[in-house]
Amino acid sequence: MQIIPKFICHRAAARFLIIIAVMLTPLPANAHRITVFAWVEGSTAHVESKFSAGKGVNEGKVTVTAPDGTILVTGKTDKSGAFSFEIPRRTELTVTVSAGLGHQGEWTIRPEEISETDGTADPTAIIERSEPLLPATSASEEIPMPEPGPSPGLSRTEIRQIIEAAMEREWERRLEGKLDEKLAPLMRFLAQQEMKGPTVQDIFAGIGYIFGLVGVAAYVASRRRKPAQERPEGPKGHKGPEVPEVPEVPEGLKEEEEFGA
Amino acid sequence: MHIAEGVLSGPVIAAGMAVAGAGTAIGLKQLDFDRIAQTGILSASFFVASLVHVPVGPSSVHLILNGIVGLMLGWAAFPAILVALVLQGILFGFGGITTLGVNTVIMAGPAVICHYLFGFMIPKKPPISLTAAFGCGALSVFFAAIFVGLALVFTQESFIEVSGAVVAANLPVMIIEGIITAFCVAFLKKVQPSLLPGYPG
Repeated sequence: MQIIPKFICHRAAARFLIIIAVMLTPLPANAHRITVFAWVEGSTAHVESKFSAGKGVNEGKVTVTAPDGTILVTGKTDKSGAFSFEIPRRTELTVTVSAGLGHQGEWTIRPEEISETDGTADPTAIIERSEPLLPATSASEEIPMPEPGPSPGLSRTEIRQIIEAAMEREWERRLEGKLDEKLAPLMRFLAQQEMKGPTVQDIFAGIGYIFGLVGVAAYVASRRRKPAQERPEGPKGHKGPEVPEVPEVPEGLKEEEEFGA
Repeated sequence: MHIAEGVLSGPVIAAGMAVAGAGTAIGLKQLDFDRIAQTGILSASFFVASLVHVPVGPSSVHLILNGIVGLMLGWAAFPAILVALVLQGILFGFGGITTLGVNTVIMAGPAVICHYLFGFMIPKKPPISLTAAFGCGALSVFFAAIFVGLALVFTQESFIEVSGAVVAANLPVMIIEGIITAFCVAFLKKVQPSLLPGYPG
């Protein structure tokens, strides 16, 4: 082969790579990684699941398992990949969403995220317990008790302690409810963030890594190759005729230019 | 085609790792100095290709490009695809680290098979070579779908069902990849045939 075709070959190869690169320009779409995000609101857990960069997992199989492996809840996500369930008990819950064909993702709800009252079926249980002594609702209105009246077996301070404890619990419960309510949008936002697909940085990082590895491989191979290089060039690798030296600018021309200036 | 973490059983994962390791060793052994850069570029193409999505009904599938990688690299497709899969796993969250071996076999295995099935036809006249290239691109995706079914059969779902679903979902990808492969081969035959199998390097 001659020199010029070889030169074109390189350019063509470069063009080929550019074409590949253009063909491979990422399009906004979705698939393949499933991200799952779950948060607790009151006694309900909300699950959101998405394929990378967007679409919800339509009719994904949801299984909620306890740490010991028992399956607590099963269900299917709706079209947008959402699913909600009543928290059966206060334990670590692993939510797995599977879309079949080897695609699945999971999220773990820690027991700390579930408030104490949520695990029980009836959140008013505490109030009921305190009711025989004093109704919790009226107790929260008036803290200093003017006339406790005759209460058999209980001193004033004891009653006060019981009331205060009950009130505190009631407060906590209300606060938690309120907080859950306020935090829900934030959690949803976090879920969206969590489910972002690959970014441009990721793509370039990967390509950079591969090129770096090529460099390492070339280095290793070149070290391995050194002894072999001493032998004369084999028939491999076409060598065109010697490139004639580019003729320099004739002396006369140079001088003329100098004269002109 | 990427099987996620926690889907496969232990023996399948171990077998996948063993096969992927062997394939990578053979690939690295065969990889000579002149083809390192080519391997890297094809690895990068494979890495990025998974971001090109083809919408299929309610879901979507992505390009794999294992056909052209296998055709041009032969056994070196194993290290190329392994590296790309590691990076896809870390950076994109596709697949998983434990399933790396299985996923490598799923995609590099068909690549090597197609290299040997179609490679020798590439230097022939255009009708034959282009058909071979198309077949290489399409069948490597098809075989990958079969491999996915094989990997999953030991764990949860039935083989016919899974493979059928994967093949059906990837039909458009098979056609697109067949065309891409044919296009690449036609182009390379004109400008740099030494990159293709069957030509003197």
